[in-house]
Amino acid sequence: MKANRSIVDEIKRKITALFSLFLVVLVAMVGFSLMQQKATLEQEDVKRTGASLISDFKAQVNELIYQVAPLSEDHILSTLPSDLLFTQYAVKALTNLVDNTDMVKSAFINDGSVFTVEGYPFDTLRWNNSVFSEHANKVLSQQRRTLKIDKLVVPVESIEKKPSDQAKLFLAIPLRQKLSSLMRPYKYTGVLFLEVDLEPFLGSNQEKGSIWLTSQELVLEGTQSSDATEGVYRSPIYSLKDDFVALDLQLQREAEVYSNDILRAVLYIVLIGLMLVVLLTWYLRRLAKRLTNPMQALERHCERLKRGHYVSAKSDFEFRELRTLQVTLNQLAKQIKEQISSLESEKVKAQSSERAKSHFLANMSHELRTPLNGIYGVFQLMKHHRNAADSKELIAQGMTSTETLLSLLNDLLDFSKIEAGELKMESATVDVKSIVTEVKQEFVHTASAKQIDLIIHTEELANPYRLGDSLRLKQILRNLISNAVKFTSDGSVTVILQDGGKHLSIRVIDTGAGISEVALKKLFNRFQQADSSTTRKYGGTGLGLAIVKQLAELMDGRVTVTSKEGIGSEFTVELVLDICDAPEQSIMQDLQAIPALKDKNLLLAEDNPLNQKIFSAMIKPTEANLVIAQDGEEAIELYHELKPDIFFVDIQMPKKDGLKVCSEVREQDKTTPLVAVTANVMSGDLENYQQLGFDNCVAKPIDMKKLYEVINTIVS
Amino acid sequence: MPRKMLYLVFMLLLLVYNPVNARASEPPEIDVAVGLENFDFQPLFEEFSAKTGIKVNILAFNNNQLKSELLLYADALQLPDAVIIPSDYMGLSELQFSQVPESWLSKKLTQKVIENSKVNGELKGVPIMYGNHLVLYYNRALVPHPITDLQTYAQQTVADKPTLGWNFYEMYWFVTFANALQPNLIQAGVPQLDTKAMRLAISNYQSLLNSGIIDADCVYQCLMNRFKTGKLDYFVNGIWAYRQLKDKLKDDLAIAPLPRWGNYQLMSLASSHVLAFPANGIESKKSPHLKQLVDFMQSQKVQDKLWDELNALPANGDSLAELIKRDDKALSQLIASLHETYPQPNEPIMAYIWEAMLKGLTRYLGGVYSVEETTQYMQFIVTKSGQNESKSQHR
Repeated sequence: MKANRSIVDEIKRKITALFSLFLVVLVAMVGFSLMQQKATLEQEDVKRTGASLISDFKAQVNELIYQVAPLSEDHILSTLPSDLLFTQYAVKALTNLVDNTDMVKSAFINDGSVFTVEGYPFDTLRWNNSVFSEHANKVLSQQRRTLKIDKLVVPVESIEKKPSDQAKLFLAIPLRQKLSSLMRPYKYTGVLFLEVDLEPFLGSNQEKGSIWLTSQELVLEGTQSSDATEGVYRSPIYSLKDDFVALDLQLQREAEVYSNDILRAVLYIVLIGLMLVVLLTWYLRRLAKRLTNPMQALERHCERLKRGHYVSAKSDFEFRELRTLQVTLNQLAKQIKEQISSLESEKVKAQSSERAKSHFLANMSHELRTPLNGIYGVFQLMKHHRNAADSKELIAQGMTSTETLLSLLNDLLDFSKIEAGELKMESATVDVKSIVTEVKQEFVHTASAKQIDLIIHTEELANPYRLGDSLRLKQILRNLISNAVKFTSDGSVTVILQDGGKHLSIRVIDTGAGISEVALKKLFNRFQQADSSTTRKYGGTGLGLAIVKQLAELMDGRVTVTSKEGIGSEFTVELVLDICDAPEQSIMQDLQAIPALKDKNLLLAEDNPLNQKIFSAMIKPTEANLVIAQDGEEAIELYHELKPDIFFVDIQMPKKDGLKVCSEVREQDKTTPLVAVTANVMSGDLENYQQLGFDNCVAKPIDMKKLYEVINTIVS
Repeated sequence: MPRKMLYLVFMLLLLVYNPVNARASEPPEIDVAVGLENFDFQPLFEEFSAKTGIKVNILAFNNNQLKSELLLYADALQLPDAVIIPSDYMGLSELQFSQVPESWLSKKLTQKVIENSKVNGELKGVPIMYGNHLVLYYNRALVPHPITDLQTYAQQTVADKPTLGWNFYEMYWFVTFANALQPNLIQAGVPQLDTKAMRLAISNYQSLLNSGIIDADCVYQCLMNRFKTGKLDYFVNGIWAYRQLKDKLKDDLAIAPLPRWGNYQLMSLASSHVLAFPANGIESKKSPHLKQLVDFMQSQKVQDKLWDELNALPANGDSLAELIKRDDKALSQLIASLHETYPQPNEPIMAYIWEAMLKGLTRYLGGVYSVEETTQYMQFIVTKSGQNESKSQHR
């Protein structure tokens, strides 16, 4: 299972870790480099410092010599060895000298005897005098003409007579009195020995390391020798050859001095590094906040989107990528919103359509039952009536109901074809005036019954003959006039035909109830009527105007409507139909006339006895010889036996359906006209039949005129 | 005539404004250096100035400092006209004291005093006072009797604080121990320091120090203060301190001769305080003024009141006789104690002996030398300095 990690935290951790690693490596490298330099630095530094210290020491001793040289001829000091009455002054002078001269630790006068003449501090009087007497006697015996201040290194062991590896450094100042003799300008009375105090020199240089002065194997008192052998610098200050005294300076700098520097440098780096880490952490926190805040804002935005709030975020982000992401999310939200809106609209439409279909089915049920009731009622009444006059009237009513039912079914069929885009418009010579007149005839009785005028104006129609589909043209007119008559309770229904070139205008004006504006908008929608009350009041499937609209559009035309409630409506159909010459009247009449089929053999494959009887009755006027097969097998047998001139085949039959029969026939015979007689007249059925080999099709219920037209077409 | 008159006027004006005359009209001055510890001569000098019109400029020093200062300025002969010094200082040849004419001396001086004023047979100073010896003062309010045997006292006394005032590093005090064992520090002009008696004296002196009855670090003025305030039972000091002590302790002050150290009587030196003239002052132009000062200081009147004003014993025999006649027990004791003294040698070498004893004793007590080495050292340095002194005198 993966941890719930944050990208920003991860980046922060990684950067901090990398920086820390970099810091550690840097410190290690710097430390290593410094350590390497340490040895060289140590050596050079000790050497340089040592040389500097030697110069410094020499300078200080020379300064002291310069300072004390005048004492050589000091009256009191030089007289004291030969006149002890100067003792008090001499003691005072020595005390002042020691107390006021930094580098003088003690002072005493020796006159070459075994006794020290005077000294300060008092301890100097306890010292073994023989060492100094020897030097004093030497000076006294030499009787130098020039002043020479000697340096002496005297072992402490010989001074204090106790074992010691230390020594003291002295300056020996000859004490002399000036004489007037040319040969002996000075009288030497003794030697003033000054013990050199190293403390000021060592004190002022103690930070430079461990310093000790050695003379051969002896260490000068006051200096601290070291047993260390490494890092020790040794160099002579005075040599026996030049200075008559051997004195070396030894210097050792503790490794700590350098290590401390290195450690300090490393510590500084670490400190700076830590400060940088702190700064980096602080910066990363800030950066993280700068990153996480907009990301959290985006997250909240996404959360809103997830909950279905498809709104646009308008945060002002600092980073371009996040702004782009926000824009993308906003676009996504917008698209989703639009799609949802569209889907909702479609959903509403679908729901509306569903409701319309339900309503349509309910209507259809009602509409179908109404003529069926008429037909069923007529046949029941005819069963009991013997009166011919009554029967004729009943038959007429039955016919009307049957036609109404057929019309309904045709509407459905047409609508189905139009929906499927399979309705093909025929292009034949059409007499528009004639068609209008025929349609008017269909509604004359209805209009008359409602006491409304049905008026046709064709005066402005210059070219009544057009190339078009007469059936569909009638259908348009029938629907419009039917509606006008249906919705007009008094007044008139006026049909005005006008043309201008190819354009043909059909206006159906009524003085009916009119249509509301809301209803007008969905008037041409399928399954729609002005409102549900319309259906209840006037009946109808609601497909009529939808079919009119589709048919008009198929004829490159359009249908419009203007209406005012309570005044009436005006439907205008504008069509584009080519003008043509008037056709020969006979052809039109022959096709629907009763074909003359005497001596012709017709074969009908039909399993339904009633249909067999109806079909027989319709064929009887043609005087043809009709043979009926009860199923498909029998039909094939009879086909082989009779070799009919026309073979009518029902599609749905027992044993062998019409399609199989057709294929078997067409396998052997391509010429015998095969006509499908079927109730399967839905979209695509007729095309299938033609592809299988049927020459034509008669739909059930059979329209006798249609049947004759088909037969006439085949025969001709 | 007018020319004579003008000449006279001119001469008179010349006399009036002559700078020589102007100088002569200023009062003559004499510079006199004295030692501070001993006597206050200021009233006497004021009296002298009032009487003679000679102004006396007094330069006051501590005794040791006086000697050093005089020696220091001796080379340049930048020395005062007269000094009042202990008679032993007269041996300092560097100071070139004038030989005093016998005629300058009072006729009332005893021969002992006159002899004490000579150096190598030459009269180098005019004795003013005589004595200057040490006596034992004690506070009667604290102790009823004086110490008679200091060695026994030192051995037996167990005190948590010093009881005896002893100016330890002052050789005038040390010499009482040496004199107890060795009457003469100089014999036939030769210093006698590297002797058995001196070694014993040094050892005894160290015993005194180690006994704890004295505080060697408390020197002259410190001891004076302690004795005056009753913090010390006994105090060995010179007769010059009598006046100060008497003023403070009144009748509690008692005087006794110096005690013995075991079987040996401690003997003080007695000396004169002389008026001497360094840098051969008598030969200078100020000689008449100096003669006036000598006459004044030797006058009967001044000598008679030396005790009353300075508590100094007069050098004048008549004046001393008059004091003896007084019914003053303390004074009698002081005069009587003179008999237990040795006259201080005035040989030039004495000055070196004092210094040699101090240096030797200091080194011995500081552990530098053994007692034998100490006396050898003392003898060595005195001899060496004496040789140089002789050479310089010969030169």
